[in-house]
Amino acid sequence: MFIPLSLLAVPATIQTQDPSWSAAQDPEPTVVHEFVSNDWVDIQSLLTVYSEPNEESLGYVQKVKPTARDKIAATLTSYLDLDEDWDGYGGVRPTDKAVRDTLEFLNALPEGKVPPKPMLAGSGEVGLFWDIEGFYCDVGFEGDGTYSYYGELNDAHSIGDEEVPVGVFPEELLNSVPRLSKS
Amino acid sequence: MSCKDLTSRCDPVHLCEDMRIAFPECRCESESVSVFSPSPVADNEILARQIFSPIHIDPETGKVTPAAFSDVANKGLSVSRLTYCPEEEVDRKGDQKARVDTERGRKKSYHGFIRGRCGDLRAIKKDDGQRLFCVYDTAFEHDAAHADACQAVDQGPSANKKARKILRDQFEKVPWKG
Repeated sequence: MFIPLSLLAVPATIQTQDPSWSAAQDPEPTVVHEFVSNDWVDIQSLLTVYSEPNEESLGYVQKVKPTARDKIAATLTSYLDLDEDWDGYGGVRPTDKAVRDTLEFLNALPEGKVPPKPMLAGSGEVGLFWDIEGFYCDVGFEGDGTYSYYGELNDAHSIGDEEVPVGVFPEELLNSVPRLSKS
Repeated sequence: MSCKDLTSRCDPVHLCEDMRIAFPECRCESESVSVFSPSPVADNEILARQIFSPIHIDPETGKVTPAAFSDVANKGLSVSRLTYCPEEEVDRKGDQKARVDTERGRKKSYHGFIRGRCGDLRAIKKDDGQRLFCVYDTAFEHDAAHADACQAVDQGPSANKKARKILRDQFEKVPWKG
């Protein structure tokens, strides 16, 4: 069964019959997501599952609440549905591998770091970027198992490299990505 | 081979690359590169880049993404010269293109344009003093106001990302309609 990841952009609700149900008692959530390829990402690790009472039905509703990363992953995966000339200037459709490499990078970004935003170039290069106070960074994936990046910090210090294997996080990049504020 | 010869024969997907090789250092800026052009692009001209895809816009901020400028490295960043094409005309053409493409099965929407000044693009230089962007009057028979911004040097993926960051900073951040 193929369920597009883009469905994750909309919170799914699953009605449970047992009013005594709780997240602590429930075994693994039964949400099933399969991807075009079998080895996309461990999407279960991206999901946040919680429960809350539903007074109208006297039951409990288990909700799958998409995180910021879920939404980014959904957007990246949606690029595969694009046609050629998607941008009006002859834009090239990205390869499956370019999207998969980007998802792998996203998945490897430690929790607690400000998540990047997804983007796509006319050349078909899939990208992620940060453009926030004190930190700018542009990361690109062409689908060859490596990525390139260029970034600037607020002290005018710049970082950058290319042909970095996907799965490797250079210290300068990892240390430059700000942590999420606790507020 | 003249600049006009090159632009009329080259594969449009590799316009900037071909220009870099055949006419380095923006040599073709001093003459028209198209028989349909009214004149070479002057430094004081305002250029408008149409935005057609929501993918090129960050939905949270409304700003155009860095990737929206990636064409500058290879096929050229298509822009309209507002001297020869009023803003209303840019919008009309944008809406028309979106409509025609959608009718042909390529769903598209027009989100407006962002503006930049030609002279500001041409003034950008690398640390070694070399120009980073050229602007050519790549007019078409049906679009005399068409121009392209091309990266003058290809320095590899990371430096190209730096270049498009600099270019992005020269344009308006949020597309709008005239």
